[in-house]
Amino acid sequence: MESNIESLLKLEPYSLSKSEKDEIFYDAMNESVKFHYEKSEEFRKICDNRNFSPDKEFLIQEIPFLPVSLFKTFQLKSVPDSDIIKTVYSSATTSNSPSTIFLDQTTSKRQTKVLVSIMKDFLINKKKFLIIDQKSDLNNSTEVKSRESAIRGFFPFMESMNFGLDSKLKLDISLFEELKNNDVCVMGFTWLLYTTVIENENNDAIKKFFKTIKNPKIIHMGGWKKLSDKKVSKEEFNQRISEFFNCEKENIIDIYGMTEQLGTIYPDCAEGNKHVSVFSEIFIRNIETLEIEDIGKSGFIQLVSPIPHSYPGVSLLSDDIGKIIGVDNCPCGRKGKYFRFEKRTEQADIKGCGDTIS
Amino acid sequence: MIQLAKLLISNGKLVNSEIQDIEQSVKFATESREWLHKQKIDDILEYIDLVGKYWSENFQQKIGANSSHVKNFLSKDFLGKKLDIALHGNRHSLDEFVDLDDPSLLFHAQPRGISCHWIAGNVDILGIFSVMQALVTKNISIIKTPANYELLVDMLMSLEKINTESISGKEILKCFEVMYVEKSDIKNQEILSNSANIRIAWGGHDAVESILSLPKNVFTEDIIYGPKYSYVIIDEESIKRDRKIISQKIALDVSTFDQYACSSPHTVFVKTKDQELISEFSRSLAQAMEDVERIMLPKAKETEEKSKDIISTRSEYEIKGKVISSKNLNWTVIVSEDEGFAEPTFSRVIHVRPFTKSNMVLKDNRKIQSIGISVDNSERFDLIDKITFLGGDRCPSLGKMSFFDSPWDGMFGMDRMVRWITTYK
Repeated sequence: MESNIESLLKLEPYSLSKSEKDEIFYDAMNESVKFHYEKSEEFRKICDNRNFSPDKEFLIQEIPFLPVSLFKTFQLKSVPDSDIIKTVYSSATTSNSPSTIFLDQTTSKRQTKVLVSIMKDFLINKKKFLIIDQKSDLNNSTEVKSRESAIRGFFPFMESMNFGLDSKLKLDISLFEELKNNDVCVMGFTWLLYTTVIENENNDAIKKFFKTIKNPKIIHMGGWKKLSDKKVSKEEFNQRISEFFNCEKENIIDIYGMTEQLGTIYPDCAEGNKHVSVFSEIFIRNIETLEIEDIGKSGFIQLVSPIPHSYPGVSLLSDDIGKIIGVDNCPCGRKGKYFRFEKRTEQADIKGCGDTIS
Repeated sequence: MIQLAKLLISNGKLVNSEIQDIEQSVKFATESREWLHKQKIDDILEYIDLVGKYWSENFQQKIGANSSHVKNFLSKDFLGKKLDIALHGNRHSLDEFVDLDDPSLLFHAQPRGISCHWIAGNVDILGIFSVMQALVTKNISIIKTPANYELLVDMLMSLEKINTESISGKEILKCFEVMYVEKSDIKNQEILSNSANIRIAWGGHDAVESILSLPKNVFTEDIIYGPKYSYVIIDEESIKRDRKIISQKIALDVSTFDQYACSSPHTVFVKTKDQELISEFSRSLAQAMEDVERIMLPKAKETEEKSKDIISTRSEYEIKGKVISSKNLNWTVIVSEDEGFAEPTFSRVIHVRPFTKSNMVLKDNRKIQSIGISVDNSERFDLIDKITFLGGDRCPSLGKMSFFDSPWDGMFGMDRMVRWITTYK
């Protein structure tokens, strides 16, 4: 018999309203949580400590969340080491140590499937990809950085792939001149894309080149931390990107996602909202009480998904602050919850005479 | 870019305006030195006694748990006794030459002059104690406030309403210049430091290092309060005898200042091999944490960054040990068999660990300040001697860890605030 998770993966990502999704999603999560409770000692301990039993009826929001910081301190696995085919390391943005995520064949296949399913809703045709990054070794090594992993996820949408930056991270037109007059999708990591645009604002040759590309799609991801530090707003970012690449702002897709839950990504629609697919769920938790917040109220973003099989990352509490904008009624037509990302929390800054470590 | 300091109180008046440099303030402070020097110590103590009562009555809610202690510490009897001890037995050495039983010398304690206080934001009320110690030793104070200066300014401005027969509040207020100066305002920070005969720094490692790196006169005395770590040791007998009371007292110590003070404990070491007793005590402590938060000391609003820290620490120890916590993030009790001092999470996160011989409590550590202790009296003094040989400044009883005392951080602050003058008999 097909598992509930496999059945879920066959659905169209934004085809179900909240009420239609709830039962199917619950069944998949029930299956997933029971599996991890049995296979992961760490997850089981957390569940037990919070008096959560997967054998009793539960609400999705009651599934104990793991803060993403746990992936920096523990090697969390729900399968034997022999099943691990890849290890993904996140970039260490707000702390010195990266998250480590162990993937088995099942998780990897599920991730690819949901990512393709979600992105098909935003990128209809295959395109020639211009990646604003230096050329990277994307072979099948077992240790992968999250940036490389993200690029790999888009393989199914790539007719071809050109890297636009040289080894010193400088834009080099000779690396992608062949894309002239083609249907192109520009892809990059938010801060690197922005830095590249700023560096080349007065580069006439580059500007002339992009005039030959008609309204390219721009996909960017990787977070706003570095740009927020420079006080660059999303509006300013979109304005500059749109002018530089000669594209409409609606074609700029900011993708929110986490290394700790690869695959279930959250792209912006033309309205600027991030949509939750049937493959995952989002809750916003009050930063002091940890209670679920109502629509429009900001808090920590909790991400729930049955996709992870090799590690117990099925319910995560991120370091990010966001808010739910609405459910089932986005003007773009996609069903389900939609939300906006607001900011990433920093490291706490302790001041005072008690500021000491042992 | 020119940075502006915010002058809050100057020359006995509420100012609350931005200024380019604080030289004028230093001048006012210098001018008040002579007046303060002429006041008799008994009159000053009587005045401070009244101040303690006034603050305790009128700022009780804002001061919080330390309110009654402020009154007690500033009372004439208590502060007078502390002053006697700090000044080698005779507070009147501040007024005149006194005989301290030296075979040939008489002693007179002269104020050093201008004391500059850099007060930390987390413990603004503790800063009041260094300011009052400066006053009682007849030193003028220039106070660099934290960004949240409202309470401090209100308390100091209230001095003009407090008068005794001998001392006018308006004159006393002139002994305090109060200002907010940004850390990056190097020019004014240097003026502060250069004008100081005593530099008193409350704060974390970075803040203290930054203050110490400012230029100063070679004769300037430095008094550093922090950065420090505090903990608790309790034994089996005291749990069996007074579990509930001990739990309540520790909960109070943890919750005062929301654990951000140097005297706030982060770890409770339990001297027992009985795991069930540790579990029992931890549950009792959790209940006390809940009661203290609900009845006595409501938790202050936390930042999202700190919330994230608490969530991370809780989850980490749900895997490594046992976590008992409020449903929200108000308090957390973490039981584990980890050794050594728990990394502070602050914000009412207390770790309960077994006391083992290999524990870090018996290792050299000058960062230790308060060790709240409840062990059998027959063992207490030996244990304290053994531990404090390697670090630790005070071993108060439980429930009083965050009550400022003299000495503090291993120093008689009031003694450091005076110069000792001698002459022959």
